[in-house]
Amino acid sequence: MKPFQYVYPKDIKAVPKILAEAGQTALLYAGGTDALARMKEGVSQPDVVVNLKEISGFSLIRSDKKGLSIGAGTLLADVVESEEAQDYPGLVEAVKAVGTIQLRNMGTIGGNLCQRPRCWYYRSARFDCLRKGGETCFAIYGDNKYHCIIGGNPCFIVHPSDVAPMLIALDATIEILGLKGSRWVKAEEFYVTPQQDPYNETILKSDEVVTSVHIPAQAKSLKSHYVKFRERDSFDFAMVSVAIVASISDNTLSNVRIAYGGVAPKPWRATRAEKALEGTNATEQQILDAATGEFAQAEPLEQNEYKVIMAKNLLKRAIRELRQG
Amino acid sequence: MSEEKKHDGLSRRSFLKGVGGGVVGTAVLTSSRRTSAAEQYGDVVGPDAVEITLNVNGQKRTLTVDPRVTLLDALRDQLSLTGSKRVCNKGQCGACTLICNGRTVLACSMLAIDADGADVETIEGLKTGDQLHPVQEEFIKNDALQCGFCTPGFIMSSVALLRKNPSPSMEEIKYAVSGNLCRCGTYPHVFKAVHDAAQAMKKGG
Ligand code: SF4
Ligand code: FES
Ligand code: FES
Repeated sequence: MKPFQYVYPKDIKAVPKILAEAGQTALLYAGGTDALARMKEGVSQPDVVVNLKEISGFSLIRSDKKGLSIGAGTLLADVVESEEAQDYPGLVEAVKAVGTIQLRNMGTIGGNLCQRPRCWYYRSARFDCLRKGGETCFAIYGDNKYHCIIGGNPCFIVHPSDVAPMLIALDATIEILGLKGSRWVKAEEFYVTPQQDPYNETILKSDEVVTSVHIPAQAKSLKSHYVKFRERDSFDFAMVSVAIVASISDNTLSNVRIAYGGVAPKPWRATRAEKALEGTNATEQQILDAATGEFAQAEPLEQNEYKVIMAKNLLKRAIRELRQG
Repeated sequence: MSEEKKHDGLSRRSFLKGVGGGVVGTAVLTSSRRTSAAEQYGDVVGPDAVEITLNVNGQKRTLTVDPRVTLLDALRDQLSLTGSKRVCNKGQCGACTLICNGRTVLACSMLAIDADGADVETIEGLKTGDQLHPVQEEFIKNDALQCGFCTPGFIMSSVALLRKNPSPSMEEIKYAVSGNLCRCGTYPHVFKAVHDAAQAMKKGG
């Protein structure tokens, strides 16, 4: 691992200033579970590591009638255990689906949203792939079982976060602090496709840091649910996951919001499926049709066609469980 | 109603000292570019070694670590506490699980400097005198290990569970150790051992 300087910023406002000067040589470091693994592998080689963990006010959970605010430095475990978060069951499910107990005791909400992809070519210093500034995407003709089925090209990662799809389904906003001050963006607009930017997964500029997340208060009738399918059930990244928010009355779905994990380079808002299901009874056939429409544009790679089928079936399961829950 | 809750960070920095030369000097010497923003807007340590203090199994230990060193390597290589195992070294197996400030963490995935001032409990600290911890006793009685490499991690996860929940259900036991992998497949024996340890601890008062 390359030697680095470790910086403890005085307060959160200091972070953009430090980042602006250090530029590409800086790395934001909170729970460190992802960042340290990349540093060990040599995939990230920062000169300046900025410790966000001890910044005051960075870790906090607050709820009021407008909704739930979570500081970016809040431990995932603290979200799971907090009383305030229990009003958002889908959020708790999604956060609990992240990693293991140990990793949730270390990792933060902001870190989960900003973690880098799991693509094994990306994770190995031996492959100078496109996302790392090289010329080739090795996944196209290589091992691509866990890669994306939609929205890829020129890079075929999936975004690994469990929390992000749920935030999109809950219509959350993300607060970003940069040199010019704070800005808020919809969780959905926080992420980019490789067409927009093949080197970054988010819109964060090099002087910016995520400072908090806000989830608007949900109408009483709204239910939320997160379903994650993984190859190993105890802990794993999602093969496919579904975050859904909807209200159900007389068996009819309304205000449907759906976001998928594991299918695309960004958490995938399934607007076509939402429209197809809005105001329906969501019978098995209707759900299947909605998901088929959503993934009509899917272009699976050689080893991941199974994800198209899984994505359809998981939506059925998500809605069935949402009804029961 | 508005409710505000503040959570403490993982560790409170007691003090961090650059070793061998002042911090500013270090920065100028080792970096081709000036790092004035970092120094102006924060405290900087490294890349030279840093002195940290850990409260390990109830004992204050002061050591000098390169900022790159993980908590796991600091314990194993510098304090000769080799109970916590280094297996995957990338947060994917749980063999390095220990308890830091009351919570289970993966020592391989955490920098030692981040544990400065923290209470660290490892498998070595579980026994009282010559008396093994009930979880350790029950792992032996239940034959809950084969090669034993995963065992310290499983035991630390189990101890953390029983502190929070002295009478866990089988589901709760399985969940509590779900972040620990065992290549030898001792899981059923582990579950039974944790269950029996809970019983033994209740009887023991
Ligand atoms: S999918 Fe993306 S990250 Fe993976 S090899 Fe291709 S370009 Fe690199
Ligand atoms: S050695 Fe730390 S998780 Fe495997
Ligand atoms: S006893 Fe061998 S890995 Fe668990």
